[in-house]
Amino acid sequence: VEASETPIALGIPGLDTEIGLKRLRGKRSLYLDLLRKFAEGQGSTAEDIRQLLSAGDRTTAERLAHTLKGIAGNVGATVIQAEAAAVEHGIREGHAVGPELERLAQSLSGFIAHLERALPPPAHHEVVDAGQAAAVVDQLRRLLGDNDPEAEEVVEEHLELLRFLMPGEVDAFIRSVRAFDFDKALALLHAKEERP
Amino acid sequence: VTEDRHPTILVVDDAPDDLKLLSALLKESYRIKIANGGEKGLAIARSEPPDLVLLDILMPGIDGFEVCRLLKQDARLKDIPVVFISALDDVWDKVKAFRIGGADYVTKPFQAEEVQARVDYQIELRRLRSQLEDRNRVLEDAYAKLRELDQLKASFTAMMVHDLRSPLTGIQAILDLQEDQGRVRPELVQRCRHALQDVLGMLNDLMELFRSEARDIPLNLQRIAARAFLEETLASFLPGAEARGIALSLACPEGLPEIEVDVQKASRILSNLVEKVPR
Repeated sequence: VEASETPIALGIPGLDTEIGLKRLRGKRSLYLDLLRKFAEGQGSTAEDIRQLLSAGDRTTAERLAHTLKGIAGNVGATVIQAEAAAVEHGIREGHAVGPELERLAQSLSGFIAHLERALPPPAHHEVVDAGQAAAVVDQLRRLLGDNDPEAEEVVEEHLELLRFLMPGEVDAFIRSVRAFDFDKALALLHAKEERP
Repeated sequence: VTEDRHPTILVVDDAPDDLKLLSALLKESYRIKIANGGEKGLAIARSEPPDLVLLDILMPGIDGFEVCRLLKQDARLKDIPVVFISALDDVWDKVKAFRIGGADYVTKPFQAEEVQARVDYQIELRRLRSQLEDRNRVLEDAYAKLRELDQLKASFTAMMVHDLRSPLTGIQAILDLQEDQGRVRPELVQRCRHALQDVLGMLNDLMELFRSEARDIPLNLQRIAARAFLEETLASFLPGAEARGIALSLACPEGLPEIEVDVQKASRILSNLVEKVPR
């Protein structure tokens, strides 16, 4: 685990990397991982909230805004944090949040586009070796069954190997591991193994 | 440090980003298990009880408050400290969090040092509490053992005092006999008798004292022929009886069975009975 005082200059409006890094005691690679995760997971949140509201599910809509506010705060995405808080607050108070939601949607898409351009690709150089496939699958089965978060790191390290191993359902598998839905990931892994 | 000695922390949160962050922050000092919801968290806690639960409050399905309540209802899990996760600017019920058994809370956005410090503190507290409980158990065992020894000592002393009486009464009987036959200066015999009576008096007092203290006196059971036992007991009285001109004889039917007695104690009871008769 590296801890460095060097600030990360990504030059993204609305992202205070200094605050984000400081909260993580300067762990740069963890910080970059979290930004990547944010870009992957939060792109559709504003749209999801809008759909939930029109379907009348204000509770789930409020929770999504709440979650977005929390993780934006964690990485130092101060603008999104404030806008998500405004949406959450409006929903809780029973107000119509059309304008707030619109603002949040625009900030989110701009922010994520910036992130995708600015983020360096994950630092791993995997050599796909069919011989190690069984070992990786064994390790994943054990970690997933043990609810050990290291499973997510192993998956990120072996993306190419996994694509080679389970060509059909690899995206669903990777998605459920990244969402820490280990029950589903394990089920996908078992399903793959039972097929000849 | 082996893996087994790392305390286990269960992180329950429906936000993958929070799970990733919290496990990355804590994995250097702890073994981490994650659950992406309340039901899963409960299932993990029940199958492999962790040393601490970091618990998000707002979750779909069973929320954090409910998970905490269910943990606290389970005798096996109720002592596991629960640290709630909450957003800093949330309007949330801190009083409720503590009332249903929460130990502490951490707020989002997380400060790495704060999360680490609060978790470390709860883990240390739990370690000290279980250490204290272990020590209490050792002390209770030691106390019980002491009480047992004390009882044993009391019954032993009572027995010893009683046993001392028999030889003393024997000496007294012999002195009586010598005096009657005029072989010793009477004033000397008198002095001996006084001294003996003093000792006997003291021993009787002690016996009274111990009789009230002693409850269980262990028995040393032996099988012995009834007739042999009676003859032996009576024999110790013969010199004294003879001296006083009393004839003692044993009359008992043939073919008495073997009996199982604590010879020393049973003989003492018989002696007490026989002693009463000539007076």
